[in-house]
Amino acid sequence: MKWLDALIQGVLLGGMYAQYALGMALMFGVMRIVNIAHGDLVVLLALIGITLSVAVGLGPLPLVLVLVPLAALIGWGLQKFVLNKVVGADSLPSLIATFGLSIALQNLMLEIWSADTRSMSGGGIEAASVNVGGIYIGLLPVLILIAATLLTGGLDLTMRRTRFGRALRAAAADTEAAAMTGVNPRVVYAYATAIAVGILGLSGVFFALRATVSPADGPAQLIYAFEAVIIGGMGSIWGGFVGSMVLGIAQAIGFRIDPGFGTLAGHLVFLTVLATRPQGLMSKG
Amino acid sequence: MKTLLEGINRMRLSRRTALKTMGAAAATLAMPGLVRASGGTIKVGFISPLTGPLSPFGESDGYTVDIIKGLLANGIQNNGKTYEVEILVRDAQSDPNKSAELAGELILNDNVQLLIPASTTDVINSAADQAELNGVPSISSAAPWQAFVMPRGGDKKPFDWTYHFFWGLEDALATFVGLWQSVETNKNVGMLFPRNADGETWGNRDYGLPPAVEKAGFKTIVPSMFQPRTNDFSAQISEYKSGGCDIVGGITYVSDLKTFITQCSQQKFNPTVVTVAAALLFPSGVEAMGPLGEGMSSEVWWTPAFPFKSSLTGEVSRDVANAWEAKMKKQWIQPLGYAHALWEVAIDTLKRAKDPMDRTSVRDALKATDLNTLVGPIKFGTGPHANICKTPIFGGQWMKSDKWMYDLKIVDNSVSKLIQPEAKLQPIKWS
Repeated sequence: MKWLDALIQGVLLGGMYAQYALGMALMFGVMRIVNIAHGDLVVLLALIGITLSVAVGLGPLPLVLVLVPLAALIGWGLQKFVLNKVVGADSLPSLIATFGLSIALQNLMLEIWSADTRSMSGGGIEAASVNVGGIYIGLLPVLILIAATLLTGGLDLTMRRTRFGRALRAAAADTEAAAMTGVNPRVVYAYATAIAVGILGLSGVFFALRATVSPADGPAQLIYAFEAVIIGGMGSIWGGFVGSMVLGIAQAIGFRIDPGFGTLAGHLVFLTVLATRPQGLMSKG
Repeated sequence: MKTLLEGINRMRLSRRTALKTMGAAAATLAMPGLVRASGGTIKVGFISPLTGPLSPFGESDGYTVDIIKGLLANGIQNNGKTYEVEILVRDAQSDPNKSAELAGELILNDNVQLLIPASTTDVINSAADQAELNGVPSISSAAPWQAFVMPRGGDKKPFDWTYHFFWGLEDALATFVGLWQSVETNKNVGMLFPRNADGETWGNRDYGLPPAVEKAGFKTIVPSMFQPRTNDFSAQISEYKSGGCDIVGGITYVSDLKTFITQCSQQKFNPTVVTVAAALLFPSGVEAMGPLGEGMSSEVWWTPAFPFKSSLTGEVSRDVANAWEAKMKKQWIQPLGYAHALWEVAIDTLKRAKDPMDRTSVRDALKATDLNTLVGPIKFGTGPHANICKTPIFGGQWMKSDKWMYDLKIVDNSVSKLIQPEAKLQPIKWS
């Protein structure tokens, strides 16, 4: 019972990591951009969301409808005006650019929102749960897991079935060959980042409901998304999801063994995968 | 004549200060020979975390220093002489190294007579070290006294130059015990400590919270320390559940507390009392917990209910809090009282010093401080350490408020009888 509970909590935790890992997997798979500012973007969107919910009184659902397009727009602009200038075969310039962006974003947010901690009230949904055979399952974590699963499935289908997805994969596989067949990689990149950041619009709302948000919180979320993507396999869409589950379950089981051991257990699994299967669990390469 | 000239000179700066100065100038002229003698300019270095992660503390420091500058527009009187007071405000950026660097500059380049490292262990300790090294008097607050004395070697030998007033860990622990004894529970306490300096101190098996509450007849369940910013507390919650805990206590940051309490609610673990240090200090943190913030309890350093008067302005705590709320458009915060009291002690010291331009005589005056401030009486050498004055601490609970979302009410006075409780600790209402 204790271990079944741990497993369930681990899957739910994995769902939370998955929605962060998804956009990161997409950006790395297509553009070889390791987005260090990923966590800071979540925090930025969460803070915008909280401000909107206080100022206009929007509930979580309408807020998602506002925040996701806004996030997509931010992502599109980020790629078009900043990252497209540094993207290329060498991943170092983009790494440095996003690292700088991360620091700039944190200070900008501190300037606007101060160091105060904030959060969003979801009218009780964040504290609700259902009792399944003696195990309590939180409603909000379940919603997050469902959202992460649907998003991952949807994105995977988009990649495999649509014209846009083909262009994306073509640009990923061979930028120059794709350009010769009429795909403009820079335009495709801008859309890809728009999707990756757009997903964070949803994550931002979940984040604000689930925990507190303050400007310096981004990097702490980034690390788990990062590990999840590497465990699953860099660039694979379902890989990020699987990696998140592995990480979430490893942590939850670790917590049950000893509450101080959980985070370390996650890191150990990550290191083990890195040592024995560096291309990741799902990667074909 | 010099005073009048200075007055005219300053008139160009602002009409308001000019009017004040002219008043002072007129008063000076009316009493010839008595206060006209000018003693020079006393320099006071003020270091606070105005930006960075500790900036919530710096906010009340910066606010208070602006008020003090207004009060000191006419300088201070000492032995019939008028001294100008120049306050040099520096931002430590929440960084101990920056704080030390700023303190060094203030001491060596600006030649300050008094250093005020305002708040937080990170800022005050490194600045106080510089003061001790260079022989400059320093007065600080807003950090438990052990954190000021122990890491700096004060347990072996008292400091010559640096003084500090605040409560200590032992008082906070006694307050927690007092709070928990005031309600009916099964006396089983689940403990929550993060794996950082605070958690190691509070969770210490020899002098921390667990032995203190066990001595008072409680049973403790202490899961091992958690990594700050943990996303899952279900393991701890299941330990508390199987241990039948009615009480949860410890120290956390707000982010961890919200994750924890949200999961408690999901897992239907509903303790009667949750008392946590640090996280519940600022109203913004309690508000961030939403409806689950109601009924949380913690230690109280200062509230508007403190009855003491300011020795500077004659205001009571309620007035100081109201002025803050009117100007800042946000709820009063606990460090505000201490930010004010620091200046009470500093200005009182400068007024009493034999020669306020001389660091040694300022230090002697600081050492001899015996003053009733907004946070309580300040007198050094009577407490646990020669350089420390302990101030009162109480147990408080965040309750629903008309004006703000929650208000902090004093519900326990087992450590200090200076104040009567405003209410009785209420069991948490879990919906």
